[in-house]
Amino acid sequence: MKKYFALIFLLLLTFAGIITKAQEKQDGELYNTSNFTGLYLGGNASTNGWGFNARYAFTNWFAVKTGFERLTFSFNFDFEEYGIDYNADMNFKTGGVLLLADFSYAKNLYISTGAIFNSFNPKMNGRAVGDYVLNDIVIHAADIGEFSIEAEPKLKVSPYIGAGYQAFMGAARRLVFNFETGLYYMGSPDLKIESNGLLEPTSNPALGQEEYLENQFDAYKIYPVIKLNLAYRIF
Amino acid sequence: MKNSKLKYKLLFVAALIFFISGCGEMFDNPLKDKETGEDINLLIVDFNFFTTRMNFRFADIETGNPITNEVSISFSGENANDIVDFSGKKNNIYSTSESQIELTIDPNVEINQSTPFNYAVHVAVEGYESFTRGIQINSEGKKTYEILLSPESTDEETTLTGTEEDGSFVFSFAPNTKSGSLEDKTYEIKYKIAPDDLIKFVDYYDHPMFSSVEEAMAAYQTDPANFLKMTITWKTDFPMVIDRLYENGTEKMVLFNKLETGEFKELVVTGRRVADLRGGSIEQVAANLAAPEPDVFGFVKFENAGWKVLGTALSHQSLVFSYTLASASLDPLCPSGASIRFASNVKSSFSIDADIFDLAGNLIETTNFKGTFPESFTLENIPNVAAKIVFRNNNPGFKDIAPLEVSSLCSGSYEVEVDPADGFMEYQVVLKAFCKDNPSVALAPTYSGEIRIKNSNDPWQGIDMEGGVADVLAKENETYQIHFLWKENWETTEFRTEFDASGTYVNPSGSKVTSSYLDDGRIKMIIEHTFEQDVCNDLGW
Repeated sequence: MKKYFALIFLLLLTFAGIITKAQEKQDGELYNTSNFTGLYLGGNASTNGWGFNARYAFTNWFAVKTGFERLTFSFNFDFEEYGIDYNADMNFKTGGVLLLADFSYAKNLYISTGAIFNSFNPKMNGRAVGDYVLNDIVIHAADIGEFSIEAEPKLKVSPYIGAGYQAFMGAARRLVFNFETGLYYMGSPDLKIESNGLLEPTSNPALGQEEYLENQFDAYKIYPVIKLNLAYRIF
Repeated sequence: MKNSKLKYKLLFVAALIFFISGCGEMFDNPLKDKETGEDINLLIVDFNFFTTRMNFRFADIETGNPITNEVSISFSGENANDIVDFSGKKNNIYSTSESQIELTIDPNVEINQSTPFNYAVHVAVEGYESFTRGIQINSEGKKTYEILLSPESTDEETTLTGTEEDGSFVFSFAPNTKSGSLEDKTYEIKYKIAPDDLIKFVDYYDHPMFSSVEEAMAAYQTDPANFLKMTITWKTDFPMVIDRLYENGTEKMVLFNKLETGEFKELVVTGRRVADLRGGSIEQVAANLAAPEPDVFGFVKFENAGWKVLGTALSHQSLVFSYTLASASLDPLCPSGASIRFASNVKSSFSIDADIFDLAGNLIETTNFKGTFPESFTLENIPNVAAKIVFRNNNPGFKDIAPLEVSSLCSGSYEVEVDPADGFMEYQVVLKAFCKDNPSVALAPTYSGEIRIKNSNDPWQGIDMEGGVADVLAKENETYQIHFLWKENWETTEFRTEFDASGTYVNPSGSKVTSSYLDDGRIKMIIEHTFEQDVCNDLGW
């Protein structure tokens, strides 16, 4: 199954490349004659959070940008495991400070690369809320204990690569819209498990459960980004 | 310029291919084990909500050997219904043929000195006399009770001939104890049959033995030596124990000494066997011969959760009777006594058996110290006497431990230094046990286990496992068996103490074993063992 997803993703990129090549011919002359240099300030929404950014285009072909993104959401849910009712809070946090360079190889198309000081940090805190009926006795919820599982990226400074589409709008072409897809390489996640009560061995380093789960999740090295950005050229 | 752009594009495509190839595994289900494809175990759970564990060991009082016949164990008394097995089940009877059983206590029951846990244990084994003992627990923790059972085959049988005293026929019985010297006669039991009762007795054909007192007395005069013969079986030399006594309406834990148990077998009068007392009676009277006189002396009967004192005279209206004669000291026991700390220069768990003797050499209590160095233990329900604690030295991992003399069992702190035996190395054993039909949950129990070299006759080394982790001493390059008692059966697995230079386990066994060096230089072995028993079903998982 994973191979199919990988293949589809590769095909999409190839398709984007073909379009890029076609548009390059059409827009090349116009892009060469217009001046898009200057400082752009904008806001964006992405899978890495809401944020704002500042971009300075030194030439039509090269720009640097920085920004801040943040996405946090939390939800509470109940689940049942081995006859015990648990309640858990899932707190998802991601985002970070970006430092990127854009290389425009056509008027509307660019590649972006750089790094993010990322704050990816999902955390789940759970506790037993129901008593555990163990045959003839009852273990009260308070004695069953609590747990938390937290993930942090191995690389706090994560390299980024992306490809984007930009459209300059308005009479003075000062307003720019970007659509960008890309990937952060965060390294495999570091898991931190804390638990007590009945679940205490889950976090005991001697049993190596953290390492075991890290190995199971070590394929999740990449954070996918889909980003929409709207910016205005100040000068 | 064109070449330069082409280079960048090729670089971009190469980078994308690199990333995409790295993405492939993202679409694997991380909740399936990478190696086996089975569901992973997310959680590892423990029994640590059970804060008190009670290990009952059964041994032959004559030989000291473990009893491997099926043992039935039941409980009575105030807290009997709070005793459960590790699956939380309360049973009327627990059985084992493994010479020991580990049970626990409903964790919702508070245990401390002001609310002690009171119960009595009853043990029945074919070929052994039944056993009862009242037990009080004043604190949570690990408790070990060695129950010494008396084989029925060693009961002695005596035929007594009666003599006439003050108009009654009297049979005297004062067995020698221990050394067999006359000075060791510490009590005497007399059986009395009044002539008025004797003439009521009937034989097998329901014929009275005599028609009148005069006829009976005449028969006695004719042949006094063969007039009456009473046969009883009896047993003596029981160890002292801490037990519960009901005396004058109060209940207390005391130092209790069962002096003699016995059972009536037959009564023959002028060659005819008595079949029924038919309203007559046989009096049984006990007299103390020891000095100083014990606080309590007399016949006792076990009721509910302790011994009830019946007095020094019993009247039996039936030929089916047995008796227990006992003495007890009413000196108050200390609910919480001396503290003993076990320390060692090695990291290891330990299980050390010890017998506590008073200065006269009488066994007061047998106990077991189980923990991980260093660990302190506080004696409980112990008499305020000077004592010698003699360690059995039956753990091959340790050098012999010298006896510990204490000025009082009720107070003071003592330290016992334990040295590893030659050739033993320190290891850490970690157990992750899986259920055969549910690999998604693992058990890392706080539990008692034992190890020994496979196919050896060494005694089992008791180990104390907490949350699946036990520090152990073992010899290098040996295959060890490790076993845990789950209900009636041992759950057994193996590991071998042979590793390569990097600390990697080099020998396969029935279980999956991995190893690595710990920061302190020891080798840690993680044993992944799939239960052969239906542990998960027992736990409702």
